Amino acid sequence: MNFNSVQYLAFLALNVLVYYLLPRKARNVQLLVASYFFYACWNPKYALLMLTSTAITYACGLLVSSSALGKRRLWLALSFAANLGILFFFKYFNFVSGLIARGLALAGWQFTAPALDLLLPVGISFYTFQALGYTVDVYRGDVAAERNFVDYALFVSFFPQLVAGPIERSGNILHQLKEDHPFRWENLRDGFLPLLWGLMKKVVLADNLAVVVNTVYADPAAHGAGDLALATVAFAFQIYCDFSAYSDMARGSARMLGFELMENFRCPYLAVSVQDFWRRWHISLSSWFKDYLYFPLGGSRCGKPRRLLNLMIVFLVSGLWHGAALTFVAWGLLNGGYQAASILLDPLRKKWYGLTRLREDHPLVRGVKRVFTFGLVCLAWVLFRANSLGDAGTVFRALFTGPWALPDWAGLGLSLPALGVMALLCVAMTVLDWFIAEKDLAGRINRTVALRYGVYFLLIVLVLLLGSYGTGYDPQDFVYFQF
Amino acid sequence: MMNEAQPPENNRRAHGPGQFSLRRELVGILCLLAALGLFCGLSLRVLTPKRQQYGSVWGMFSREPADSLDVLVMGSSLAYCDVVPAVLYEGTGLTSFVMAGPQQTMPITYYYLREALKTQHPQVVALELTGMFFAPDNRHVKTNLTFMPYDFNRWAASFSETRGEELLGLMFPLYAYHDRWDKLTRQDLTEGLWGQQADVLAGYTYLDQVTPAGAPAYRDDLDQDPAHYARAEEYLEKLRDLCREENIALRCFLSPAAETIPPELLEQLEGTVERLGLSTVNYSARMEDLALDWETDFFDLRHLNYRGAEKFTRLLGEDLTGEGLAPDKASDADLWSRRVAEFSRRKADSDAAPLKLKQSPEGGEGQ
Repeated sequence: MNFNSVQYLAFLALNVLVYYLLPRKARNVQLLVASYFFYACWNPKYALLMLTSTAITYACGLLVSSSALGKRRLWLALSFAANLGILFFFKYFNFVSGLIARGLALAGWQFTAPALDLLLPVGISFYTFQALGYTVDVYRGDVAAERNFVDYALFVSFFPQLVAGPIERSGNILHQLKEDHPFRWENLRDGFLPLLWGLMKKVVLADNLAVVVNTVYADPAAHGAGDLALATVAFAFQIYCDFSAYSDMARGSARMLGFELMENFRCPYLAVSVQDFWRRWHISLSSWFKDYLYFPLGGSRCGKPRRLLNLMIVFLVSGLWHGAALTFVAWGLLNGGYQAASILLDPLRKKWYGLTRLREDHPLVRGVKRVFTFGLVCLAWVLFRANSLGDAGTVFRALFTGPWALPDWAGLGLSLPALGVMALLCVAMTVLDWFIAEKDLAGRINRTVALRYGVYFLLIVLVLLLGSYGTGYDPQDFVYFQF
Repeated sequence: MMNEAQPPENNRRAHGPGQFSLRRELVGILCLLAALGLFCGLSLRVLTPKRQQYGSVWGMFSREPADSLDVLVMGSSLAYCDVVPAVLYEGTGLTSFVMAGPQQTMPITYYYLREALKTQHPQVVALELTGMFFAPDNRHVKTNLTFMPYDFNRWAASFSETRGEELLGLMFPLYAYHDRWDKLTRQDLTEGLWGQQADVLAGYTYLDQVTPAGAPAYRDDLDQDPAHYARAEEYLEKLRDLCREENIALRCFLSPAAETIPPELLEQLEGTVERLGLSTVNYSARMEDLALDWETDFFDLRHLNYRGAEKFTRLLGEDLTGEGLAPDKASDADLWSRRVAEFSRRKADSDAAPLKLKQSPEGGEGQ
């Protein structure tokens, strides 16, 4: 059941109603049942898989906490091995065996790679990392092991954030599951606006931009540099709107139940550097990698070469997390490379500012940095979106060598007026996201009844008029469901 | 010192910003629903395509002066391609309108009649009967229903004849047409806001292409499912009853065609007509009276072009007046003069031009 469906809205409304009608003791059970029902709508068998992963990390958490057999690290390692093993089996087996086959073929050895015909369980990367994070938190003593299996299972499977994040921390969620959430009108009000805002971003912006992106990236060689540049920028906004929409709707849904999920995006395309971008994009995953991989590797506390290596490892793993394909690995490595280059060029940069007497925080300088950063990020998105490294190479060749011409407006899948409207809405959305993040725009809107209902009207009209739905439309899954 | 008298606390609820007030929220919800309703209504008027020909021309039918029609011609494309109201008026003084739809089935024709009777009360309903043999799930059902006024008859017909996405699009037209916003023309806007003009052809679709017909043949595409036919019979009976209730004469006919209904189906149809106490005229059996030119008078093997339609309409008019039908409605003489002039002009232009052979022998839109 997709968030952008009538079924989900009905499911959410029903569960919010039942939640507040039930006595407190029964609420977590209700949410757990609802979450497993929600997940089973994708595939009932994989709900059992999630339950297995939950049981393993629950047990390991208790064993780590009690230092069973005096071997805390053993149980931590068991938790990692079991869960990453499951993840590897479903997500990376075919990729790795394909790589091995190719490697052996290069060495002159014939090897038929075994291929498993398996559907990737929706959200496996998300709930696996969430559960592993819990195990590490217990190991470090940051949280106590959760003894209540219902509460723990709900932490792993909480439906608003189950299939596409945010990847929550045990320290943020577990205590909320223990607290009383009495009905407060403000929670419904404050949850509804992000729900509607996310729905608009997904159905109006992401799904319409997807038409252009899919048209061009299906056959990059058939399109000129203008088309490819436009489609790449369109993809940048498609993936942002798609993913941030899910997070908005997740946070809105959770808020209606009285829960607070972590912020996952903070105006990433206004970042002034790639490092800044990764502090604003998929914040829950970046911070997970920082806390559970980068810091344990040594982080920035070691010498520069080791620090750079740590960065590349983190981004390699991040690329792999996103998908079992060389394009994702290349994307991760490119982002790591950007940050490594930035670290290496830092002394030069400081010297330059000193010579030119420009202030780094001057609005013009920040503007230029934003544009430059957006360009770098878009170049990386080429790898993320391309169907193969070959296709990515085709795009890069066209972008860097031309010939440059205006896009072929008629061959992009959307009419020129539609493209124009999408462009305007992307700009408006970027500006509004900044106001939401920096100026509490949502709070101001929510405090004024007339303004709030005016905004509801505007968002619903945008969805009704410009939304990607109806006869002949192919419903677009959220992009991050594939991870 | 006493403070100034203040009303009791519970009579003085000050709802500050952000504080919940049920009254304000209810007002907000009502205003939101009203605004959305207005938006949906207006946007639908503009976004829904406007039907100009090939049947289902409800937008233009609604501009007919109330109770101004002597004859309502109904059925499928065999009605709107073959009957020319301007010719009928010119020959007999009878006013008429062809309120038919492509490949229209009997159930839909029933709802069409119910809807048409809201503004018209003809003396005669002339019903083309080939629709008895159209499959109920044909690809034109949506076209037949989309352009009906958005009211009970359309809802009833939609629930009765469609399901799934098609039903959803008919009940919530924005679902089907919201994406036309970037293709709107000035005509869409003006007709959406102010309505369409009256149809200068009164529901007839002018066809000037030619298919030399050769020898008569039988259609091989008609639906022979007994369950479908039984349903068509049921709705023909409802049509009959509705006409009787409204004191309207129901005259059934089969349009002349080069490809006709096979004999076994014709026999079945005649049995139905007799059982229901109706009569029908098979104009394919009166080709001599029609004096059609088989080389020039057919648009395709099932429909007449303007030449054939004119001849057929004159004969139809003679039959209707021969049964005692006479003009009885206060009509807009100016409108009908324009209609006669328009058909004459188009006919003159087409007669003066070389024959236009139709590319494919199959039918255009609908059957």
